[in-house]
Amino acid sequence: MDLNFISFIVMGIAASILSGVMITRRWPVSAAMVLIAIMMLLAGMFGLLEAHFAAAAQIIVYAGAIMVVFVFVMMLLNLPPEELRYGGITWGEMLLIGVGVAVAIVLGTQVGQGMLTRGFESLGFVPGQAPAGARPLYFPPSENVKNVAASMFVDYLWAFELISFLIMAAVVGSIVIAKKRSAENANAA
Amino acid sequence: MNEALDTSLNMMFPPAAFYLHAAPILALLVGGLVALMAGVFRGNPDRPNMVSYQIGFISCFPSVIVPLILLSAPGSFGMSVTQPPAWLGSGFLGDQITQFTFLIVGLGTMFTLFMAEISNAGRQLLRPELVCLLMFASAGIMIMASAGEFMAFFTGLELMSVSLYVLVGYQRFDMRGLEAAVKYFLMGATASAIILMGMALIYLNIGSLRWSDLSSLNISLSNPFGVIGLLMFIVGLSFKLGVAPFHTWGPDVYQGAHSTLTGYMSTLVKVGIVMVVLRILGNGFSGAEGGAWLAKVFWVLATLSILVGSVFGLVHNSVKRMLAYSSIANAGYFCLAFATLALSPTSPEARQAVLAYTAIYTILNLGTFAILAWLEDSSREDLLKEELAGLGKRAPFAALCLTVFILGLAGIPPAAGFFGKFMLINSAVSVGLVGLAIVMVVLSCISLFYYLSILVEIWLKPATRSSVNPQDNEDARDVRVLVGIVAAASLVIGVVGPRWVASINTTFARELRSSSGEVKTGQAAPGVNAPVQQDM
Repeated sequence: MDLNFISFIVMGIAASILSGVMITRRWPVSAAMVLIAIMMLLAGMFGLLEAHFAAAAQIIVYAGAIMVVFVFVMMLLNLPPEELRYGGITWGEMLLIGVGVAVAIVLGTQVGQGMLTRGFESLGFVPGQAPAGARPLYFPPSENVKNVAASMFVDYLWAFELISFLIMAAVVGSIVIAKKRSAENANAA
Repeated sequence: MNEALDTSLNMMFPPAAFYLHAAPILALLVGGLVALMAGVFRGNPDRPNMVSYQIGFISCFPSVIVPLILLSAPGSFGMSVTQPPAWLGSGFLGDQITQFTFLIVGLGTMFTLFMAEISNAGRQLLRPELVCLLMFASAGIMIMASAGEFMAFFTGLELMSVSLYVLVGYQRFDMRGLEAAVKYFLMGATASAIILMGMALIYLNIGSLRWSDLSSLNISLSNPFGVIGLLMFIVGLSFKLGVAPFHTWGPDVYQGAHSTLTGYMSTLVKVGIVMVVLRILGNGFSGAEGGAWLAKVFWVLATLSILVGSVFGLVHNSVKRMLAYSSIANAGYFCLAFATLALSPTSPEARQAVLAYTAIYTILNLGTFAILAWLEDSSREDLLKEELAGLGKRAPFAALCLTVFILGLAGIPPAAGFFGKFMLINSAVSVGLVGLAIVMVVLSCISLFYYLSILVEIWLKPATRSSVNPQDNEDARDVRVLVGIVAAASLVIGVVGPRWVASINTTFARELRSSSGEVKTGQAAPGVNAPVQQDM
């Protein structure tokens, strides 16, 4: 049990607990704040798994850009606290929760047992190393950014180029949805 | 520089043949952008723009011409007939299944544009930005169906989904359309997330995102991550396909969207997803009891879908809602085909049955929704069944075509649907799925009730004051020509049978290997624990 492993476990447990905290907040803004903390913890876990690029991207993109927009929108909309529901949990919800807990226990014991006794290797992967059967890395694992760039522009070039059209579709779509209704159009409709 | 990267880079640049094979996708993407730009220079952006419409229409031409060339002359352009090539790291598979999908999607998109032009409400769809989104959605379906690895597939799926979310909600001041758009968006985003998680788990198992490497995925129950990954993947795709029990969004969305668009969504989108499932299952999986276990899952999905589709369809009065349930029942037939494929992944009969059924189902459903879109124009959105009363007297030709399509959807011989279902059930029985085949036949007899109840309204009931009374104007003539062609096509297929499908080579494309036997893009052989390369 080295320090990395212990901090990984601690961060994982903290992130799971905070996820529970997040979905039970009444105020949307405080839920968003907790979500930022979860994103930070996830970034830390990526860092410990030696995926430094993913860690940095997690902080810049999720904790930074996306969450800022989230919080701004919430503050602009000035959402009221969500009304807590009165009355008990329905049978359907009980069933769903039961299924969720059962799956979590099965997975948790499978994963947890293996990891505690044999470390990450039992899951079929080693930190900083690709899963079995993966293409050998183009660069040593320490050069994260180069490896990310190589897979992005070599192995998945077609998908990378097509992403630009996806973004284009999203831009056009959001303009169509958010456009103000003109007087003439209102009459036509 | 490092050698592995150099080799991969050299292999990455596709040869000229790629641009020919992918011309339909590229033309649609570029055509979408040009159609969008046409709105900048001409007229009011809130009004339908005929220039965009024509550009969109023309950019569909390559997706009809190229597949016709490549399907009719398989050996042309130096292509190998026995082993079609894949390019861009399996991102694009240059096989005949791809070209077949391109042909269906291209024709379907042209048909959708035509239908939008013919009805008044549909003409609102021809605003430049909406034409652009329709082009992008079609391109997304093509990308998805031609993808040989997860990244390209997922990009195509999202390109299609994002475009469709907007297209469904374009009438954003109509409450039902808006409700449909929001429902579709939330369900679609959830499904995408589930697909993504499933693929992450599969990658953990096999270390590859290619469909061709899925054959090394161990799906015996002792490997929980592999099983859960594959199940999540299938669940996500079932959401998009509208298979029960993941169908709940279907009827609401189909009812809320405009009929022209509903026809598009219920056919072409499913074509794309079905091709993806065909490619995934067609590789087979490893593991002791693999295929049998997976076939049971599809057994359950198929039975549930056709049960839900046949029984719940009986209680609804809105024609569009009934057709939505009919499309859920038809998704059950696709699941029957998937169960067959899970048991015998490489069987060409099973693959050909899937191809034939997608083509026939697309023709029948597009035709049905085209007539509905036209009828709705002269009355109101969301026709009720009673409002079709007396249509046989008022518009006999349209009623006749609608009868052909509905008989086809029900699977009654003179129309095309019979052969589609016949081939599916035939291939299912030949791999031993007799029980499922019996269930399908019995339940589709139940669904006959609501198909026939529509026909009774059309032909046997007298017209009432509320029944639809279509105008005999220029649009009506266009509809008659267009729908007549589709009905004739479905009758021809129904009479002579889908023979063309036997001439389609259903071999999946694979990346070419160099003489040393190693895959040229640097992909290690599946299942080998590849060492991390240290040399620079």
